[in-house]
Amino acid sequence: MLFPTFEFGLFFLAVYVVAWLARDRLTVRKLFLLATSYFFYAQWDWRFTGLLAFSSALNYLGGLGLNRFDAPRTRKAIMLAVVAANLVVLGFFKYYGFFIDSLTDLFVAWGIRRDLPILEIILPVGISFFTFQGISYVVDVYRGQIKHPVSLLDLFLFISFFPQLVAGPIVRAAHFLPQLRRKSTLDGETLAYGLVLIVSGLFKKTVVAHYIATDLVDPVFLDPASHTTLDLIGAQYAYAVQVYLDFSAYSDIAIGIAALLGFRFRKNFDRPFGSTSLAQLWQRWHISLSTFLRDYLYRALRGERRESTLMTYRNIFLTMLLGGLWHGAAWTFIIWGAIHGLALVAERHFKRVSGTFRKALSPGLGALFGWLFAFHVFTLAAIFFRSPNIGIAADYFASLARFRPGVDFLTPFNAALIVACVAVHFLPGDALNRVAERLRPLPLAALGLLFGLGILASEAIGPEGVAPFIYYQF
Amino acid sequence: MRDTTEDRSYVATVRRGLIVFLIAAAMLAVFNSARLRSAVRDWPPSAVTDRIVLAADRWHGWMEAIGAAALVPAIHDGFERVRRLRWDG
Repeated sequence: MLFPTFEFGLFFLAVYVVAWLARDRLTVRKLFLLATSYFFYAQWDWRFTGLLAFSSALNYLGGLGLNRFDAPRTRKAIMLAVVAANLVVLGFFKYYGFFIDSLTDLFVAWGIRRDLPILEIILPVGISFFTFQGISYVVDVYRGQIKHPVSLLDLFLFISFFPQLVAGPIVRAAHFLPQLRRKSTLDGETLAYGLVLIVSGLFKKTVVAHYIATDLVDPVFLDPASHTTLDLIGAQYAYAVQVYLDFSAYSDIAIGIAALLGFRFRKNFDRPFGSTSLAQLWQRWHISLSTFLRDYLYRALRGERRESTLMTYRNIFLTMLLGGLWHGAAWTFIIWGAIHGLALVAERHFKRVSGTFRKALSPGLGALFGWLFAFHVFTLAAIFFRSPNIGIAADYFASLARFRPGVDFLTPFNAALIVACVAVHFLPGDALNRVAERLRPLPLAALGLLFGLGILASEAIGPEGVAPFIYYQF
Repeated sequence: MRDTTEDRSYVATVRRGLIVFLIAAAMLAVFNSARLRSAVRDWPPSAVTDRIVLAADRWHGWMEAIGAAALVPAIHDGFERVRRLRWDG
Protein backbone atom coordinates (compact mmCIF):
# COMPACT_ATOMS: atom_id res chain seq x y z
CA MET A 1 0.00 0.00 0.00
CA LEU A 2 1.74 3.16 -1.21
CA PHE A 3 1.19 6.50 0.50
CA PRO A 4 -0.09 8.39 -2.56
CA THR A 5 -3.02 6.06 -3.27
CA PHE A 6 -6.76 6.07 -2.72
CA GLU A 7 -6.47 2.91 -0.59
CA PHE A 8 -3.96 4.52 1.76
CA GLY A 9 -6.21 7.57 2.06
CA LEU A 10 -9.08 5.37 3.29
CA PHE A 11 -6.76 3.40 5.57
CA PHE A 12 -5.35 6.55 7.15
CA LEU A 13 -8.76 8.14 7.64
CA ALA A 14 -9.90 5.07 9.60
CA VAL A 15 -6.69 4.95 11.64
CA TYR A 16 -6.91 8.66 12.44
CA VAL A 17 -10.47 8.41 13.73
CA VAL A 18 -10.03 5.24 15.82
CA ALA A 19 -6.58 6.19 17.17
CA TRP A 20 -7.92 9.50 18.51
CA LEU A 21 -11.12 7.90 19.86
CA ALA A 22 -8.86 5.53 21.82
CA ARG A 23 -6.53 8.31 22.93
CA ASP A 24 -7.33 8.01 26.65
CA ARG A 25 -6.86 4.24 26.75
CA LEU A 26 -3.15 3.96 26.10
CA THR A 27 -2.91 0.18 25.79
CA VAL A 28 -5.92 -0.09 23.50
CA ARG A 29 -4.53 2.70 21.33
CA LYS A 30 -1.14 1.03 21.08
CA LEU A 31 -2.69 -2.36 20.31
CA PHE A 32 -4.75 -0.72 17.58
CA LEU A 33 -1.73 1.05 16.07
CA LEU A 34 0.25 -2.20 16.22
CA ALA A 35 -2.53 -4.14 14.46
CA THR A 36 -2.86 -1.48 11.75
CA SER A 37 0.92 -1.40 11.28
CA TYR A 38 1.02 -5.16 10.73
CA PHE A 39 -1.97 -4.87 8.38
CA PHE A 40 -0.11 -2.15 6.44
CA TYR A 41 3.02 -4.32 6.19
CA ALA A 42 1.00 -7.40 5.21
CA GLN A 43 -0.22 -5.57 2.10
CA TRP A 44 3.20 -6.28 0.52
CA ASP A 45 3.60 -9.87 1.65
CA TRP A 46 1.86 -11.19 4.76
CA ARG A 47 4.54 -13.87 5.24
CA PHE A 48 7.10 -11.26 6.24
CA THR A 49 5.01 -10.08 9.18
CA GLY A 50 6.52 -13.15 10.88
CA LEU A 51 10.00 -11.78 10.20
CA LEU A 52 8.97 -8.40 11.58
CA ALA A 53 7.64 -10.07 14.74
CA PHE A 54 10.79 -12.19 15.02
CA SER A 55 13.02 -9.12 14.73
CA SER A 56 10.97 -7.31 17.39
CA ALA A 57 11.00 -10.31 19.75
CA LEU A 58 14.76 -10.77 19.32
CA ASN A 59 15.47 -7.18 20.29
CA TYR A 60 12.98 -7.26 23.13
CA LEU A 61 14.71 -10.32 24.61
CA GLY A 62 18.07 -8.61 24.11
CA GLY A 63 16.80 -5.59 26.07
CA LEU A 64 15.48 -7.86 28.84
CA GLY A 65 18.84 -9.60 29.08
CA LEU A 66 20.70 -6.29 29.25
CA ASN A 67 18.44 -5.04 32.03
CA ARG A 68 18.82 -8.27 33.98
CA PHE A 69 22.63 -8.45 34.12
CA ASP A 70 25.04 -5.89 35.56
CA ALA A 71 28.42 -7.43 34.74
CA PRO A 72 29.95 -5.33 31.90
CA ARG A 73 31.35 -8.35 30.06
CA THR A 74 28.02 -10.19 30.13
CA ARG A 75 26.15 -7.09 28.99
CA LYS A 76 28.61 -6.51 26.16
CA ALA A 77 28.32 -10.17 25.09
CA ILE A 78 24.49 -9.91 25.03
CA MET A 79 24.57 -6.68 23.06
CA LEU A 80 27.04 -8.08 20.52
CA ALA A 81 25.08 -11.32 20.15
CA VAL A 82 21.79 -9.50 19.47
CA VAL A 83 23.40 -7.02 17.04
CA ALA A 84 25.08 -9.95 15.27
CA ALA A 85 21.77 -11.85 15.07
CA ASN A 86 20.11 -8.76 13.55
CA LEU A 87 22.91 -8.45 11.01
CA VAL A 88 22.77 -12.17 10.13
CA VAL A 89 19.05 -11.88 9.32
CA LEU A 90 19.65 -8.70 7.31
CA GLY A 91 22.67 -10.24 5.60
CA PHE A 92 20.79 -13.38 4.62
CA PHE A 93 17.88 -11.58 2.97
CA LYS A 94 19.82 -8.71 1.52
CA TYR A 95 23.29 -9.99 0.70
CA TYR A 96 23.09 -13.77 0.19
CA GLY A 97 22.54 -13.52 -3.57
CA PHE A 98 25.26 -10.90 -3.97
CA PHE A 99 27.71 -13.01 -1.95
CA ILE A 100 27.03 -16.18 -3.95
CA ASP A 101 27.22 -14.34 -7.30
CA SER A 102 30.51 -12.69 -6.34
CA LEU A 103 31.95 -15.98 -5.09
CA THR A 104 30.90 -17.75 -8.30
CA ASP A 105 32.57 -14.99 -10.38
CA LEU A 106 35.72 -15.37 -8.28
CA PHE A 107 35.79 -19.17 -8.74
CA VAL A 108 35.28 -18.77 -12.50
CA ALA A 109 38.13 -16.24 -12.62
CA TRP A 110 40.39 -18.74 -10.84
CA GLY A 111 39.27 -21.56 -13.14
CA ILE A 112 37.52 -23.50 -10.34
CA ARG A 113 34.17 -25.20 -11.01
CA ARG A 114 31.84 -25.18 -8.03
CA ASP A 115 28.05 -25.47 -7.87
CA LEU A 116 27.11 -23.05 -5.14
CA PRO A 117 23.64 -23.21 -3.55
CA ILE A 118 21.44 -20.70 -5.33
CA LEU A 119 18.31 -19.51 -3.56
CA GLU A 120 15.76 -17.11 -4.92
CA ILE A 121 15.36 -14.84 -1.92
CA ILE A 122 12.71 -12.13 -1.87
CA LEU A 123 13.91 -8.99 -0.14
CA PRO A 124 11.38 -8.08 2.56
CA VAL A 125 10.42 -4.46 2.09
CA GLY A 126 11.89 -2.14 4.71
CA ILE A 127 14.12 -4.82 6.29
CA SER A 128 17.10 -2.46 6.60
CA PHE A 129 15.00 0.14 8.35
CA PHE A 130 13.40 -2.08 10.96
CA THR A 131 16.67 -3.95 11.55
CA PHE A 132 18.49 -0.67 12.22
CA GLN A 133 15.75 0.44 14.59
CA GLY A 134 16.11 -2.84 16.48
CA ILE A 135 19.89 -2.38 16.68
CA SER A 136 19.46 1.21 17.89
CA TYR A 137 17.20 -0.05 20.70
CA VAL A 138 19.60 -2.74 21.92
CA VAL A 139 22.66 -0.47 21.76
CA ASP A 140 20.80 2.38 23.49
CA VAL A 141 19.78 0.01 26.32
CA TYR A 142 23.39 -1.20 26.53
CA ARG A 143 24.69 2.37 26.70
CA GLY A 144 22.15 3.27 29.38
CA GLN A 145 20.31 5.76 27.18
CA ILE A 146 16.99 3.96 27.76
CA LYS A 147 16.43 3.93 31.50
CA HIS A 148 12.84 2.67 31.78
CA PRO A 149 11.97 -0.98 31.22
CA VAL A 150 10.24 -1.27 27.84
CA SER A 151 7.09 -3.35 27.47
CA LEU A 152 6.71 -5.95 24.74
CA LEU A 153 3.87 -3.93 23.21
CA ASP A 154 5.87 -0.70 23.13
CA LEU A 155 8.85 -2.37 21.50
CA PHE A 156 6.73 -4.14 18.87
CA LEU A 157 5.01 -0.86 18.04
CA PHE A 158 8.30 1.06 17.94
CA ILE A 159 9.72 -1.34 15.36
CA SER A 160 6.58 -1.70 13.24
CA PHE A 161 4.89 1.73 13.44
CA PHE A 162 3.53 2.08 9.90
CA PRO A 163 4.49 5.66 8.91
CA GLN A 164 8.22 4.92 9.07
CA LEU A 165 8.16 1.12 8.70
CA VAL A 166 9.12 0.54 5.08
CA ALA A 167 11.37 3.48 4.16
CA GLY A 168 12.27 5.36 7.29
CA PRO A 169 13.13 7.76 8.73
CA ILE A 170 15.07 5.50 11.11
CA VAL A 171 13.46 6.43 14.40
CA ARG A 172 15.56 6.21 17.57
CA ALA A 173 14.21 4.17 20.45
CA ALA A 174 15.30 6.80 22.99
CA HIS A 175 13.26 9.41 21.09
CA PHE A 176 10.14 7.40 20.24
CA LEU A 177 9.54 5.12 23.24
CA PRO A 178 8.90 7.95 25.74
CA GLN A 179 6.14 9.19 23.38
CA LEU A 180 4.34 5.86 23.86
CA ARG A 181 4.20 6.33 27.61
CA ARG A 182 2.15 9.53 27.54
CA LYS A 183 -1.17 10.50 26.04
CA SER A 184 -0.80 11.88 22.53
CA THR A 185 -1.96 15.35 21.77
CA LEU A 186 -2.52 17.47 18.69
CA ASP A 187 -2.36 21.25 18.49
CA GLY A 188 -3.29 23.55 15.63
CA GLU A 189 0.30 24.16 14.59
CA THR A 190 1.14 20.43 14.43
CA LEU A 191 -2.03 19.79 12.44
CA ALA A 192 -1.14 22.51 9.90
CA TYR A 193 2.49 21.33 9.75
CA GLY A 194 1.40 17.71 9.16
CA LEU A 195 -0.95 18.77 6.34
CA VAL A 196 1.75 20.91 4.70
CA LEU A 197 4.25 18.03 4.86
CA ILE A 198 1.76 15.60 3.30
CA VAL A 199 0.86 17.95 0.43
CA SER A 200 4.49 18.87 -0.24
CA GLY A 201 5.54 15.20 -0.12
CA LEU A 202 2.78 14.15 -2.52
CA PHE A 203 3.71 16.89 -4.98
CA LYS A 204 7.42 16.10 -4.82
CA LYS A 205 6.86 12.39 -5.39
CA THR A 206 3.93 12.14 -7.77
CA VAL A 207 4.74 15.16 -9.93
CA VAL A 208 8.33 16.38 -9.85
CA ALA A 209 10.24 13.15 -9.14
CA HIS A 210 8.00 11.24 -11.53
CA TYR A 211 8.49 13.49 -14.56
CA ILE A 212 12.22 13.97 -13.99
CA ALA A 213 12.54 10.19 -13.86
CA THR A 214 10.39 9.20 -16.81
CA ASP A 215 11.29 12.08 -19.15
CA LEU A 216 15.03 12.29 -18.55
CA VAL A 217 16.72 9.93 -16.09
CA ASP A 218 15.25 6.58 -17.16
CA PRO A 219 15.76 6.94 -20.93
CA VAL A 220 19.32 8.28 -20.57
CA PHE A 221 20.45 5.64 -18.06
CA LEU A 222 18.96 2.88 -20.21
CA ASP A 223 21.72 3.33 -22.77
CA PRO A 224 24.09 6.19 -21.87
CA ALA A 225 26.34 5.62 -24.90
CA SER A 226 23.60 6.69 -27.31
CA HIS A 227 22.89 10.09 -25.75
CA THR A 228 24.20 13.59 -26.21
CA THR A 229 26.55 15.29 -23.75
CA LEU A 230 23.90 17.76 -22.58
CA ASP A 231 21.41 14.96 -21.95
CA LEU A 232 24.03 13.04 -19.97
CA ILE A 233 24.93 16.07 -17.85
CA GLY A 234 21.24 16.86 -17.33
CA ALA A 235 20.43 13.28 -16.33
CA GLN A 236 23.36 13.22 -13.90
CA TYR A 237 22.00 16.25 -12.05
CA ALA A 238 18.42 15.10 -12.50
CA TYR A 239 19.00 11.74 -10.86
CA ALA A 240 20.47 13.27 -7.70
CA VAL A 241 17.47 15.61 -7.58
CA GLN A 242 15.09 12.70 -8.23
CA VAL A 243 16.50 10.62 -5.36
CA TYR A 244 16.25 13.62 -3.07
CA LEU A 245 12.65 14.35 -4.08
CA ASP A 246 11.55 10.74 -3.93
CA PHE A 247 13.08 9.96 -0.57
CA SER A 248 12.44 13.29 1.13
CA ALA A 249 8.84 13.04 -0.11
CA TYR A 250 8.45 9.71 1.68
CA SER A 251 10.04 11.17 4.82
CA ASP A 252 7.80 14.27 4.66
CA ILE A 253 4.65 12.18 4.34
CA ALA A 254 5.79 9.79 7.09
CA ILE A 255 6.61 12.67 9.46
CA GLY A 256 3.32 14.39 8.55
CA ILE A 257 1.23 11.26 9.16
CA ALA A 258 2.98 10.56 12.45
CA ALA A 259 2.39 14.18 13.51
CA LEU A 260 -1.34 13.87 12.76
CA LEU A 261 -1.43 10.80 15.02
CA GLY A 262 0.32 12.72 17.79
CA PHE A 263 3.92 11.50 17.31
CA ARG A 264 6.96 13.61 16.58
CA PHE A 265 9.68 12.39 14.22
CA ARG A 266 12.82 14.37 13.59
CA LYS A 267 13.55 16.02 10.26
CA ASN A 268 15.23 13.61 7.80
CA PHE A 269 16.40 16.12 5.15
CA ASP A 270 17.49 19.69 5.63
CA ARG A 271 18.21 21.32 2.26
CA PRO A 272 21.22 19.12 1.47
CA PHE A 273 21.92 20.69 -1.94
CA GLY A 274 22.55 24.05 -0.27
CA SER A 275 25.55 22.57 1.60
CA THR A 276 28.94 24.21 1.18
CA SER A 277 30.90 21.06 2.02
CA LEU A 278 30.42 17.34 1.53
CA ALA A 279 30.54 16.78 5.29
CA GLN A 280 27.72 19.30 5.71
CA LEU A 281 25.75 17.66 2.90
CA TRP A 282 25.91 14.35 4.77
CA GLN A 283 24.72 16.06 7.95
CA ARG A 284 21.67 17.24 6.02
CA TRP A 285 20.93 14.19 3.84
CA HIS A 286 18.97 11.22 5.23
CA ILE A 287 19.83 12.57 8.66
CA SER A 288 18.43 9.56 10.48
CA LEU A 289 20.82 7.22 8.60
CA SER A 290 23.82 9.58 8.80
CA THR A 291 23.41 9.95 12.56
CA PHE A 292 22.79 6.20 12.91
CA LEU A 293 26.06 5.47 11.09
CA ARG A 294 27.86 8.11 13.20
CA ASP A 295 26.51 6.89 16.54
CA TYR A 296 26.50 3.15 16.02
CA LEU A 297 29.18 2.44 13.41
CA TYR A 298 31.69 5.29 13.45
CA ARG A 299 31.65 5.40 17.26
CA ALA A 300 32.13 1.63 17.40
CA LEU A 301 35.07 1.84 14.99
CA ARG A 302 36.64 4.69 16.93
CA GLY A 303 36.12 3.18 20.39
CA GLU A 304 36.67 5.24 23.51
CA ARG A 305 40.25 6.19 22.76
CA ARG A 306 41.50 9.38 21.17
CA GLU A 307 42.22 8.57 17.56
CA SER A 308 45.04 9.64 15.26
CA THR A 309 44.35 11.59 12.07
CA LEU A 310 45.03 8.50 10.01
CA MET A 311 42.60 6.45 12.08
CA THR A 312 39.95 9.16 11.68
CA TYR A 313 40.37 8.99 7.92
CA ARG A 314 40.19 5.20 7.96
CA ASN A 315 37.01 5.27 10.06
CA ILE A 316 35.33 7.88 7.87
CA PHE A 317 36.15 5.83 4.79
CA LEU A 318 34.93 2.55 6.30
CA THR A 319 31.72 4.16 7.56
CA MET A 320 30.87 5.46 4.09
CA LEU A 321 31.88 2.17 2.45
CA LEU A 322 29.55 0.24 4.75
CA GLY A 323 26.91 2.95 4.25
CA GLY A 324 27.18 2.20 0.52
CA LEU A 325 26.76 -1.52 1.14
CA TRP A 326 23.71 -0.80 3.30
CA HIS A 327 22.03 0.76 0.28
CA GLY A 328 22.23 -2.40 -1.73
CA ALA A 329 24.02 -5.63 -2.46
CA ALA A 330 25.91 -4.54 -5.57
CA TRP A 331 29.39 -3.34 -6.47
CA THR A 332 27.90 -0.08 -7.75
CA PHE A 333 26.74 0.81 -4.21
CA ILE A 334 30.12 -0.16 -2.75
CA ILE A 335 31.90 2.09 -5.27
CA TRP A 336 29.40 4.86 -4.49
CA GLY A 337 30.21 4.54 -0.78
CA ALA A 338 33.95 4.44 -1.50
CA ILE A 339 33.76 7.64 -3.60
CA HIS A 340 32.00 9.44 -0.76
CA GLY A 341 34.46 8.05 1.79
CA LEU A 342 37.47 9.18 -0.25
CA ALA A 343 35.96 12.59 -1.00
CA LEU A 344 35.12 13.19 2.67
CA VAL A 345 38.67 12.25 3.67
CA ALA A 346 40.11 14.48 0.92
CA GLU A 347 37.90 17.39 1.99
CA ARG A 348 38.84 16.98 5.65
CA HIS A 349 42.54 16.71 4.82
CA PHE A 350 42.36 19.77 2.58
CA LYS A 351 40.77 21.76 5.39
CA ARG A 352 43.59 20.65 7.72
CA VAL A 353 46.45 21.61 5.45
CA SER A 354 45.06 24.62 3.59
CA GLY A 355 44.60 27.13 6.39
CA THR A 356 46.50 30.00 4.73
CA PHE A 357 44.99 29.35 1.32
CA ARG A 358 41.46 29.31 2.70
CA LYS A 359 42.07 32.49 4.68
CA ALA A 360 43.13 34.19 1.46
CA LEU A 361 39.78 33.36 -0.14
CA SER A 362 36.77 35.52 0.58
CA PRO A 363 34.09 33.59 2.59
CA GLY A 364 31.72 33.79 -0.37
CA LEU A 365 34.24 32.33 -2.79
CA GLY A 366 35.17 29.61 -0.31
CA ALA A 367 31.49 28.69 0.09
CA LEU A 368 31.06 28.63 -3.70
CA PHE A 369 34.04 26.26 -4.16
CA GLY A 370 32.76 24.12 -1.30
CA TRP A 371 29.27 23.96 -2.82
CA LEU A 372 30.62 23.10 -6.29
CA PHE A 373 32.78 20.33 -4.84
CA ALA A 374 30.03 18.82 -2.65
CA PHE A 375 27.29 19.03 -5.28
CA HIS A 376 29.41 17.54 -8.04
CA VAL A 377 30.87 14.73 -5.96
CA PHE A 378 27.31 13.86 -4.98
CA THR A 379 25.83 13.99 -8.46
CA LEU A 380 28.76 12.20 -10.14
CA ALA A 381 28.78 9.43 -7.53
CA ALA A 382 25.02 9.11 -8.05
CA ILE A 383 25.78 7.73 -11.52
CA PHE A 384 27.02 4.56 -9.79
CA PHE A 385 24.02 4.62 -7.47
CA ARG A 386 21.59 4.66 -10.40
CA SER A 387 23.41 2.34 -12.80
CA PRO A 388 22.25 -1.29 -12.69
CA ASN A 389 25.86 -2.47 -13.10
CA ILE A 390 29.41 -1.16 -13.37
CA GLY A 391 29.33 -1.54 -17.18
CA ILE A 392 26.52 1.00 -17.55
CA ALA A 393 28.26 3.39 -15.14
CA ALA A 394 31.51 3.05 -17.11
CA ASP A 395 29.59 3.72 -20.35
CA TYR A 396 28.11 6.82 -18.74
CA PHE A 397 31.47 8.27 -17.75
CA ALA A 398 33.03 7.34 -21.11
CA SER A 399 30.14 9.06 -22.93
CA LEU A 400 30.47 12.15 -20.73
CA ALA A 401 34.14 12.37 -21.68
CA ARG A 402 33.46 12.59 -25.45
CA PHE A 403 31.45 15.52 -26.72
CA ARG A 404 28.32 14.78 -28.66
CA PRO A 405 26.22 17.79 -29.70
CA GLY A 406 22.45 18.19 -29.49
CA VAL A 407 19.79 17.75 -26.85
CA ASP A 408 16.87 15.30 -26.92
CA PHE A 409 15.66 14.70 -23.38
CA LEU A 410 16.81 17.72 -21.38
CA THR A 411 13.75 19.82 -22.21
CA PRO A 412 13.12 23.36 -20.88
CA PHE A 413 10.61 21.83 -18.47
CA ASN A 414 13.11 19.32 -17.06
CA ALA A 415 15.87 21.90 -16.85
CA ALA A 416 13.57 24.31 -14.99
CA LEU A 417 12.55 21.55 -12.55
CA ILE A 418 16.18 20.69 -11.78
CA VAL A 419 17.19 24.34 -11.26
CA ALA A 420 14.10 25.06 -9.13
CA CYS A 421 14.64 21.96 -6.99
CA VAL A 422 18.24 22.95 -6.25
CA ALA A 423 17.32 26.61 -5.75
CA VAL A 424 14.78 25.86 -2.99
CA HIS A 425 17.63 24.44 -0.92
CA PHE A 426 18.85 28.00 -0.42
CA LEU A 427 15.58 29.07 1.21
CA PRO A 428 15.45 29.34 5.03
CA GLY A 429 15.33 25.94 6.74
CA ASP A 430 12.02 26.64 8.46
CA ALA A 431 10.12 27.60 5.28
CA LEU A 432 7.53 24.82 5.72
CA ASN A 433 7.04 25.73 9.38
CA ARG A 434 6.37 29.31 8.35
CA VAL A 435 3.78 28.16 5.81
CA ALA A 436 2.15 26.05 8.53
CA GLU A 437 2.12 29.02 10.93
CA ARG A 438 0.29 31.10 8.32
CA LEU A 439 -2.23 28.35 7.67
CA ARG A 440 -3.03 27.67 11.32
CA PRO A 441 -5.40 30.61 11.93
CA LEU A 442 -7.32 30.08 8.67
CA PRO A 443 -11.01 29.19 8.91
CA LEU A 444 -11.66 25.48 8.79
CA ALA A 445 -13.27 25.52 5.35
CA ALA A 446 -10.34 27.45 3.86
CA LEU A 447 -7.84 24.98 5.34
CA GLY A 448 -9.85 22.06 3.98
CA LEU A 449 -10.09 23.66 0.53
CA LEU A 450 -6.35 24.37 0.46
CA PHE A 451 -5.50 20.82 1.52
CA GLY A 452 -7.90 19.46 -1.09
CA LEU A 453 -6.48 21.77 -3.77
CA GLY A 454 -2.94 20.66 -2.91
CA ILE A 455 -3.83 17.00 -3.37
CA LEU A 456 -5.94 17.75 -6.43
CA ALA A 457 -3.03 19.61 -8.05
CA SER A 458 -0.77 16.56 -7.63
CA GLU A 459 -3.53 14.32 -8.96
CA ALA A 460 -4.28 16.57 -11.93
CA ILE A 461 -0.68 17.11 -13.00
CA GLY A 462 0.74 13.74 -12.02
CA PRO A 463 0.39 10.53 -14.01
CA GLU A 464 -2.15 7.80 -13.35
CA GLY A 465 -0.60 5.26 -10.99
CA VAL A 466 2.40 5.78 -8.76
CA ALA A 467 5.84 4.18 -8.99
CA PRO A 468 7.17 2.73 -5.71
CA PHE A 469 9.51 4.91 -3.70
CA ILE A 470 13.19 4.35 -4.51
CA TYR A 471 14.10 3.61 -0.90
CA TYR A 472 11.65 0.69 -0.64
CA GLN A 473 14.35 -1.50 -2.16
CA PHE A 474 16.78 -0.70 0.64
CA MET B 1 -8.29 21.60 35.48
CA ARG B 2 -5.30 21.97 33.15
CA ASP B 3 -5.85 18.48 31.83
CA THR B 4 -9.46 19.26 30.98
CA THR B 5 -8.47 22.39 29.04
CA GLU B 6 -5.77 20.44 27.21
CA ASP B 7 -8.28 17.68 26.43
CA ARG B 8 -10.79 20.16 25.04
CA SER B 9 -8.08 21.73 22.91
CA TYR B 10 -6.86 18.44 21.39
CA VAL B 11 -10.42 17.26 20.74
CA ALA B 12 -11.16 20.46 18.83
CA THR B 13 -7.96 20.10 16.77
CA VAL B 14 -8.59 16.44 15.99
CA ARG B 15 -12.14 17.31 14.90
CA ARG B 16 -10.72 20.14 12.79
CA GLY B 17 -8.33 17.68 11.16
CA LEU B 18 -11.15 15.27 10.39
CA ILE B 19 -13.23 18.00 8.76
CA VAL B 20 -10.21 19.06 6.68
CA PHE B 21 -9.82 15.47 5.43
CA LEU B 22 -13.52 15.22 4.63
CA ILE B 23 -13.52 18.50 2.68
CA ALA B 24 -10.45 17.32 0.73
CA ALA B 25 -12.08 13.92 0.11
CA ALA B 26 -15.25 15.62 -1.14
CA MET B 27 -13.22 17.83 -3.49
CA LEU B 28 -11.41 14.81 -4.88
CA ALA B 29 -14.66 12.89 -5.27
CA VAL B 30 -16.19 15.78 -7.22
CA PHE B 31 -13.28 16.89 -9.39
CA ASN B 32 -11.36 13.65 -9.68
CA SER B 33 -14.16 11.13 -10.04
CA ALA B 34 -12.39 9.39 -12.94
CA ARG B 35 -9.44 8.48 -10.69
CA LEU B 36 -11.85 7.33 -7.98
CA ARG B 37 -13.56 5.08 -10.50
CA SER B 38 -10.33 3.55 -11.76
CA ALA B 39 -9.09 3.00 -8.17
CA VAL B 40 -12.13 0.98 -7.14
CA ARG B 41 -12.03 -1.00 -10.39
CA ASP B 42 -8.64 -2.34 -9.29
CA TRP B 43 -10.04 -3.80 -6.08
CA PRO B 44 -10.36 -7.61 -5.81
CA PRO B 45 -13.65 -8.74 -7.38
CA SER B 46 -16.53 -9.48 -5.01
CA ALA B 47 -20.21 -8.72 -4.71
CA VAL B 48 -19.42 -5.65 -2.57
CA THR B 49 -16.78 -4.42 -5.03
CA ASP B 50 -19.27 -4.79 -7.89
CA ARG B 51 -21.70 -2.52 -6.06
CA ILE B 52 -19.00 0.02 -5.27
CA VAL B 53 -17.82 0.01 -8.90
CA LEU B 54 -21.39 0.56 -10.07
CA ALA B 55 -21.81 3.44 -7.63
CA ALA B 56 -18.47 4.96 -8.70
CA ASP B 57 -19.50 4.69 -12.38
CA ARG B 58 -22.79 6.40 -11.66
CA TRP B 59 -21.07 9.10 -9.59
CA HIS B 60 -18.56 9.77 -12.37
CA GLY B 61 -21.44 10.02 -14.83
CA TRP B 62 -23.05 12.72 -12.69
CA MET B 63 -19.79 14.62 -12.35
CA GLU B 64 -19.35 14.51 -16.12
CA ALA B 65 -22.88 15.75 -16.59
CA ILE B 66 -22.33 18.81 -14.39
CA GLY B 67 -18.89 19.47 -15.88
CA ALA B 68 -16.88 18.94 -12.66
CA ALA B 69 -15.00 15.96 -14.09
CA ALA B 70 -13.59 18.12 -16.87
CA LEU B 71 -11.39 20.20 -14.54
CA VAL B 72 -8.62 17.66 -13.92
CA PRO B 73 -8.18 16.71 -17.61
CA ALA B 74 -8.10 20.44 -18.50
CA ILE B 75 -5.34 21.10 -15.95
CA HIS B 76 -3.47 18.02 -17.15
CA ASP B 77 -3.67 19.14 -20.80
CA GLY B 78 -2.36 22.59 -19.91
CA PHE B 79 0.49 21.03 -17.98
CA GLU B 80 1.28 18.67 -20.87
CA ARG B 81 1.70 21.64 -23.21
CA VAL B 82 4.38 23.06 -20.90
CA ARG B 83 5.99 19.68 -20.52
CA ARG B 84 6.24 19.17 -24.28
CA LEU B 85 8.01 22.50 -24.91
CA ARG B 86 11.35 22.12 -26.70
CA TRP B 87 14.31 24.49 -26.95
CA ASP B 88 13.55 25.09 -30.64
CA GLY B 89 9.92 26.01 -29.93
